[in-house]
Amino acid sequence: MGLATLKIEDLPHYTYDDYAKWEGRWELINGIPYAMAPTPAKKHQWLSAKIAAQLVHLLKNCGNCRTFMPVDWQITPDTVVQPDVLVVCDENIEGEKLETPPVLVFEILSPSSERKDRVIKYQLYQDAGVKYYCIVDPENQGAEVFQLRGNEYQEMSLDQEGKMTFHLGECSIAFNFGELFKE
Amino acid sequence: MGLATLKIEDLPYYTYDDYVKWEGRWELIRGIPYAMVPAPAVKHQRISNKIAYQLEELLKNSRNCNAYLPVDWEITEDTVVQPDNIVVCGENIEEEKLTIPPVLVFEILSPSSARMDRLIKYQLYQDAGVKYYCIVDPENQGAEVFQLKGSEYQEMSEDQEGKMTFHLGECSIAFDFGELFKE
Repeated sequence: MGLATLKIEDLPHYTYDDYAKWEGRWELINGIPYAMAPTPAKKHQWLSAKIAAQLVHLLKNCGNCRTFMPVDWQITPDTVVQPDVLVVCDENIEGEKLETPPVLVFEILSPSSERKDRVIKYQLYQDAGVKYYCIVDPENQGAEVFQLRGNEYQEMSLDQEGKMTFHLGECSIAFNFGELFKE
Repeated sequence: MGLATLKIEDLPYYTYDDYVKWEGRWELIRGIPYAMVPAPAVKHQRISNKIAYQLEELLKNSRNCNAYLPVDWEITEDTVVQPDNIVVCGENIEEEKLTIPPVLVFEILSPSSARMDRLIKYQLYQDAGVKYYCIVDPENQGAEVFQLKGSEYQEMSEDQEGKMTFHLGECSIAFDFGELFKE
């Protein structure tokens, strides 16, 4: 018994207003729902917390830039994502969603999110103008960092101390990736 | 700032095992999530109740056939739907889900579900071998009834009393659609 193939015009096409009513953890990309893991694994949460803690500390004197983890970022009316940790500058903290691109985004890989993080979101963030995109890999205890040059990402290397300097406009911070994987 | 188009291989692909973990009201078609209206309108619910009530009465003496309100029907591993009202003959539903086609399915139209009910589900139910598919329209106070002839649906007409006879294997029932719209 064959089932008819789904045609392009049969694909769902939701917007932020639909998304806001859904229960559970979802993202929306080009109008299509993507489920997030119900509650990310402990390792994932711990890494998220450490990244955010380090950023809050480093940004203390960078008056205009803030860390959020996670928050709804509406890229277009039909694309809403929740990066694991992000830094946005010159943004007030009122309202439920972010509508301007963050300057720095971290995604922490999980087994089910690899394609989404490495391919789909890589493209989304590149096109949306996110200056720095970091993919953190808990399994291999490493991170890949991409910087926007023109309108494409290029990979950057960590310095000898395992740090990376991010220039966020009015301030620069030296983020220590090695710290993330110490127990 | 253009966003890259979503490629086929980037579409999400979920199965029943993912589906059961989701919160909220969802269906799954060919691996893609479709949101259901959070709480169907009052009119929708009243009609569903009346259908269920009439079916219970008509099936009172049937040993083999039972009527159900929405249950998870797993058509294939990557397609799970929740029709508004169904009749299943010959098998009791496993606790969590139905895995054989119902003999009779009712879907009650809502403003946002027309395309889903008239096209996508029409095709799904036809291919899955659902003998009778009824699309009930609360706005226009009418119903379209389709019967499987060979492998395609053909529309059926009500008899002079406004009833439709469904042959469910060991028994036949005369369903009164007019009843659904009386207050």
